[in-house]
Amino acid sequence: MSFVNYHTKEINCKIVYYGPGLGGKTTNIQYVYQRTSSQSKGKMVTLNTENERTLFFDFLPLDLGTIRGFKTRFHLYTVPGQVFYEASRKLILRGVDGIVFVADSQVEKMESNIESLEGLKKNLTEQGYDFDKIPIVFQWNKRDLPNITSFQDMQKKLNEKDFPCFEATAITGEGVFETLKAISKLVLLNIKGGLED
Amino acid sequence: MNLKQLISNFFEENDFGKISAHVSVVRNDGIVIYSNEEDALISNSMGALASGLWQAATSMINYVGEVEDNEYRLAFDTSSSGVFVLPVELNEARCYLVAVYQDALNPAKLKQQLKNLMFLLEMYIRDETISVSRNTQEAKGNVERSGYLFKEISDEEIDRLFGFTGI
Repeated sequence: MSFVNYHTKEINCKIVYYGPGLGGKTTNIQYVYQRTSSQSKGKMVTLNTENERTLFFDFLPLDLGTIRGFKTRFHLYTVPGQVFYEASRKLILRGVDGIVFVADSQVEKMESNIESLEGLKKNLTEQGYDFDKIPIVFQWNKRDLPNITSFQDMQKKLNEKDFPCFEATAITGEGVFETLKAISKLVLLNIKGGLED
Repeated sequence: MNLKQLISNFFEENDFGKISAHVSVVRNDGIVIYSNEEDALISNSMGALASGLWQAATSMINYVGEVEDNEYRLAFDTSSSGVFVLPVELNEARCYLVAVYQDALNPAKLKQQLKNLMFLLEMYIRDETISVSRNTQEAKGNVERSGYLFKEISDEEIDRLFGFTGI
């Protein structure tokens, strides 16, 4: 849940990168970390397994600039993608303001993408969120690989409601900030509590 | 006065921020409400980790049966250094009082002080909230916070927010 301090004019938001294992969630926020000046970012916290798969979460606090006088701070989290870490995914989704669903574009990964998306819908519902209303952006990652599903098929199978989506190659940074900017905008527009009407 | 400001007053008026090297109050979702750490980026990481620690520990306990976690505390320590997390209910919201200490001569005493601090904080917030609520009801012409904070945001404004990336 976003936290707005009207006194100090600060906005805190939580964005979670969700998706199947090895889909590129951690790569996304690693790229953001690399491209961010040290004044704007905190230490990237990563809890990994021995083979560097995300175990619990990656966490990156980002201090952005100000918008209409409000200092904006985003907390980026990734969930572990592997199927057996369902409990961790549920925990990390608590209080989420916006979701980036990172799908792996490789043909053979479509089933994992669908399974992960169904899991996301189920976990959000369990926590009282409405999948159709929460800010969400899709990212079709690994577009540089040869054996990939077409953009149209990705849309048809994963994004039938036509939420915003971006093609990306997170490893080179392509599409990473476009995705983050899009979800940031949706999250900011979704913050309740107007100053005046 | 909002919760963040109330907690900040509680710590600053009483110098409680000096109780250990790091002390913070963190929401259930990891958002830091108060911290004695000046570097917000460090305190944010501490908040996320503390909340994650608590949630992970609670999940582990739940494997051996359904339990209420109100009476638990979380400790990770040596004989002189460690992390100590206590749950606090502030305005009916679950938060955590987080302390990280180093080279403590008497960690047991420090933990007892933190428990006392937890009760004091809960009481202070409860009393202050009632008082603020009364004053608010009496006050006229308050700003109504309804609707959305921003009615529209341009792409240029978002680009400026991410200006640090040079993209």
